[in-house]
Amino acid sequence: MPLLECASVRKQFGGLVAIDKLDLKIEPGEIVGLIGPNGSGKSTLANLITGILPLSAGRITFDGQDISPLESWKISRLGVARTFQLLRMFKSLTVLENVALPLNPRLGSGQIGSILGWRRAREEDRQAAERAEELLAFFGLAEFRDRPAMELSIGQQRMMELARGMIVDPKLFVLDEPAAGLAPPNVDKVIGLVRRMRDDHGITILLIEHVMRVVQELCDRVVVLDCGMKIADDKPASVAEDPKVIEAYIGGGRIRTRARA
Amino acid sequence: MGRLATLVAVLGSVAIPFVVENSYIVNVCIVIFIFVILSVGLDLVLGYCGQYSFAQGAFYGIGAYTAAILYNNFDLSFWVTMPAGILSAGLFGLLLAIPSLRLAGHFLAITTIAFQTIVYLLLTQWTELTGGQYGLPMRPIEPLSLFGFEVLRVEGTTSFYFLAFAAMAVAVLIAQRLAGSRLGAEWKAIHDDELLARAIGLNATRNKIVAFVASAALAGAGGVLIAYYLGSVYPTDFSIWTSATVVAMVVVGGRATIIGPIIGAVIFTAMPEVLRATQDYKLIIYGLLMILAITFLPDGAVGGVRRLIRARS
Repeated sequence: MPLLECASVRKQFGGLVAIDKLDLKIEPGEIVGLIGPNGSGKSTLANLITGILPLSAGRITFDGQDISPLESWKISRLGVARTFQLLRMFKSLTVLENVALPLNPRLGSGQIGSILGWRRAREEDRQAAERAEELLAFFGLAEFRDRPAMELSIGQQRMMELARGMIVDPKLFVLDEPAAGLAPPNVDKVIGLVRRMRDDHGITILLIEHVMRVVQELCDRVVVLDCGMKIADDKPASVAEDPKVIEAYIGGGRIRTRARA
Repeated sequence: MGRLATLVAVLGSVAIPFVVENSYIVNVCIVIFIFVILSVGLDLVLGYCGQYSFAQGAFYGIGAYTAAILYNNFDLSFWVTMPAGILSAGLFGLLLAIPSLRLAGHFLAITTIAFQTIVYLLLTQWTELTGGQYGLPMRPIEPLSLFGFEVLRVEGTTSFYFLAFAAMAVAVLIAQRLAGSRLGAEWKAIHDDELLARAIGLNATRNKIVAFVASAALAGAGGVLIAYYLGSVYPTDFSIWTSATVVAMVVVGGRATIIGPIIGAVIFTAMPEVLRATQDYKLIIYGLLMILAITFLPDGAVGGVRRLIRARS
């Protein structure tokens, strides 16, 4: 059974069709790349899968459950984590709090226990902070734990987003351009980290990425979008040679003469 | 240091009625305590969740009038009207929370102003129930008896002072527990980036409702106290002017700090008393203070002091 299945998914913003007739299956343990020219609907698809945007039509199933009508916080609790292309963070919280916060709804003692200061709640909070610290160390952010998240550099903020997603041990991790704006050595670091997420933690990954090197090195399979439609779904090497994909990226072979009339 | 400051503040407050000969100051302190309950309550919504609400005065009025109506129509005692006032204000808080789930920023602020206006109009116009502009009378707080024994008697200014002080202490403690818990961290997260908060699995809707209800319930408690303190209720005490003053207390004192709104309540309750001599210029001074605070101290007095401390170390 696929972990994630999109069936004839459609998203429309007024008259603009951002995603149309999209079918997509992701098997457990796969790293699937999602590429396409600017405006082809990659981030929109990520927003549909994670419930940030509602579907216009179609159906998305995650782990055997129809998640298309669910709000994003419910989908998140089912085990779908994500990062954002334009970095997002809680600017008034520390780095440690930013990373630990997704654990809150998953702690057994709940809000009431925390408000009343029960020992069990305090113990859980301590464990959550410990877990967050481990991840900060893993992502090279240990020394910034008590600093405001705002003070981190772009590269460090990307690492913080990865840590924030990892802390809940997601089944599916949707990465929206994790290498965007990073210097080449850091791109290598991201490649290594993403591979370890899958190999060591068994996390299935949907990777939206513009940096082709990342896609080529990591992905088992690449899905290509153009104008909201899927135009290819294959091994990275075959996709790169697909004429339809080449046309989508650099245009058709003929010079169009329509404009002259 | 925080603990020491709290201890000094508590001991100082307890000593005031014994040390100060002038009962006028004791009376001002009672009003300060009641406004601390309002401002600390509003801090949960405005400071922590970042939702501008200009309805705290309405909830204050709902608490006061619930007590007054229950006493005048059913002859119920303070020990019943107090929980009833808290409950009814909390229920109206739930009502106002509904638009807050769909609106944000200025639009929510306008909705809360509308709510405040409707409540004020009901208090002035529904004369059979509220007495309109003539208000409703109250009697002093009845002694509390349990199993035929008198447990507590509130009589005169000094004992009311301690009742108000105790109520304020409980309100501050509740607000502090809420703000210091996981819920408080989630409120801050919602304030910073609600979309992200939802994306990591936080139930932003429920959390905002809790903030609105808790905030309104605290204001309701303040309202019941002021009704018994003044010995009567009039609509003018619960107008938008009160709501705006409470917002100013939170903003000038320092949002999302708990201690900030307490300082704000002291400043904005004591200032009109100090400025009594310059009655004509009162509003000008008020306005200037607000503008200066928002321009130079966006995090309020508490934020300014914290910045000074950080700059020194």
